[in-house]
Amino acid sequence: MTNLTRTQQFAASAIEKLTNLGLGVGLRSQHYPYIMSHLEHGTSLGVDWFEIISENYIDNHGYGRYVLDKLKEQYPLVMHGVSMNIGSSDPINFEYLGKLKELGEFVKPQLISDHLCWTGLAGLNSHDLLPMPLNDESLQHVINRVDQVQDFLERPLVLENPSTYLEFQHSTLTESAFFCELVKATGCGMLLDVNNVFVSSFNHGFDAEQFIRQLPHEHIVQIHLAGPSDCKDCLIDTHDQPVPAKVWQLYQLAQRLTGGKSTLLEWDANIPSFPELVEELNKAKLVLAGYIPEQETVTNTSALSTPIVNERLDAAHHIMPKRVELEQ
Amino acid sequence: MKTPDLTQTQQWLNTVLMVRGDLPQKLNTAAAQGLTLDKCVKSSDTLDAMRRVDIYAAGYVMRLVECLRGEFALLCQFMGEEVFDTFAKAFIVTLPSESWTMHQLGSRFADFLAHTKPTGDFNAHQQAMFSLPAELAKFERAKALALLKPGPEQKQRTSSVSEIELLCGIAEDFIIAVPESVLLVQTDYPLLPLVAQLEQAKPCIIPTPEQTHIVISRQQYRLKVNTLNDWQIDLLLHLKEKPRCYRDAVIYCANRMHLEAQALQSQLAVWLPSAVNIGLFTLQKT
Repeated sequence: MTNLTRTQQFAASAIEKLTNLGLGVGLRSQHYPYIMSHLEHGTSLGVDWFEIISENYIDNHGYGRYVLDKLKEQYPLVMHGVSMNIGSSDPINFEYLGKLKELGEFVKPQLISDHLCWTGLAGLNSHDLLPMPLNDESLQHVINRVDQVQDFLERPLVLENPSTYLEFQHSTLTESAFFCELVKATGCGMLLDVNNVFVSSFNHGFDAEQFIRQLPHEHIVQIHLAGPSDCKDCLIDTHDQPVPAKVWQLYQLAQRLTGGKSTLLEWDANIPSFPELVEELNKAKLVLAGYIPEQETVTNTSALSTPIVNERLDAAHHIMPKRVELEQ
Repeated sequence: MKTPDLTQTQQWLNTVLMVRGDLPQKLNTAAAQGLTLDKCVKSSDTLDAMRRVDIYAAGYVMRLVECLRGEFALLCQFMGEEVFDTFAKAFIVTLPSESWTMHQLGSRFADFLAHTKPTGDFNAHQQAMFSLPAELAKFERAKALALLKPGPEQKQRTSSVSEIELLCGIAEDFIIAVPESVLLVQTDYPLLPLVAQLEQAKPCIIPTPEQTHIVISRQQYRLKVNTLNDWQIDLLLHLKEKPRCYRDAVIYCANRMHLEAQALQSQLAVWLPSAVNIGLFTLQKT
């Protein structure tokens, strides 16, 4: 047995052992004051766990890192990245991976995830989650790279299905078939974003429920929820709206098929107050009890695809005034 | 046509996103590599290939412009959103991001503005209007870095020191250091009054040229901004290289600035306690 195979087996076994963390939200700097005040007073925030955007905390020695340090003492954390560039034909960026691993040693997350996509080429970065051609060549390419990443991180990698707006002519595999082959070959996990399934299914005209039924359920370790925007001719993944009824239906199906997995609500633009966010998240409990909230997809014809979750350093917390202090 | 491989496909989309021009121009440039839109991207009755690619191409620029607006909020206010966006878009197309982190996105913006500044025989007001954007960008970039770099908060054993203790020589053997969160900005204009006007949304009074050294520091995660005199800058730069013994640092600085060591020590006794309080220095007992 080669080391690589051991890594793959280790990854698959580690994925199986991940527990359901319950209901969580993404950590956003706009909520630092509320969160810190609750942490200091030891009062509940009303969520079970938090997901952080890894890149916002790598090389960040400011207040965000301080918040993270306090938060990890009281809540389970998960690291979710946007820059691994796992599908790119560029070489793997081991400098980035080193920093990711270092952050992982500090955060001690339950898992580390990123997206099945590419973000840049030839050393340039689009800071977008770009779609992959899905065929045998790209599958083998991603398998090789996931193996290398898992070897390096010494832990399983979890990959999310992104929202996509185009499909390549030379794609020969469905995204669900791609994921099935990928997890089988590498032992990696899957983060199922049901909002992304909703968006992509609308944009490409496939059946969202059938897609979810075809996924490797035993490898799904987390589920993402979010609200997209309806641009009339397409859906855009904006993370700036309440979760629509159709996404809740997909969530209900996914939870049933997977046996219950950690749930995360993403909200990255027009961010509501923390209590409002928790209120939206708690609708998941109603959904699991059989009730689907009535919520239409919100129309916004000028929407931009997934906003970059960039930590707002200037408004990061309550002790940081908007204005700098001029001392003279 | 042969089926494009992964690299060719990604090169094609990368070109469509990043080259200059409107979408048809971008697609023409990408087609020179041998791939066309129809050969690459599927169309449907409701969404044609052009619109599909445009979602990515338009989103790429506008999302990064939005990030730059966040980092350079004062500059955006000074220039006005429309002018700011024009420069931001040109910056993104001219110097695409080479880093996986958004923290690096604005690192070359001040230089870009300085290099694209019109040159010619302008009056003082025009000259200031062309120069100030790069100066403000430099200042705001330094602020962003000061918030990210390791600061004095992590130093567990930072000692406070009083004027009397310094005058009595108690700190002679202390190790004095400058945290990485301290940023020096050299500007050709006295920026701070303009910064205050912008922050308070007051009408801007365009400053006249004057070399200024601004120092940005952080204490308990709050930014502090000051201007420094020559010996203060010299001491700060000397200690930014590496931490040193207080006594040695004073002697070195006095020699370089042609000051009496005792005179400098007296001035430091007055200044250093407040400088430590605003995160410019850390002091540690040996």
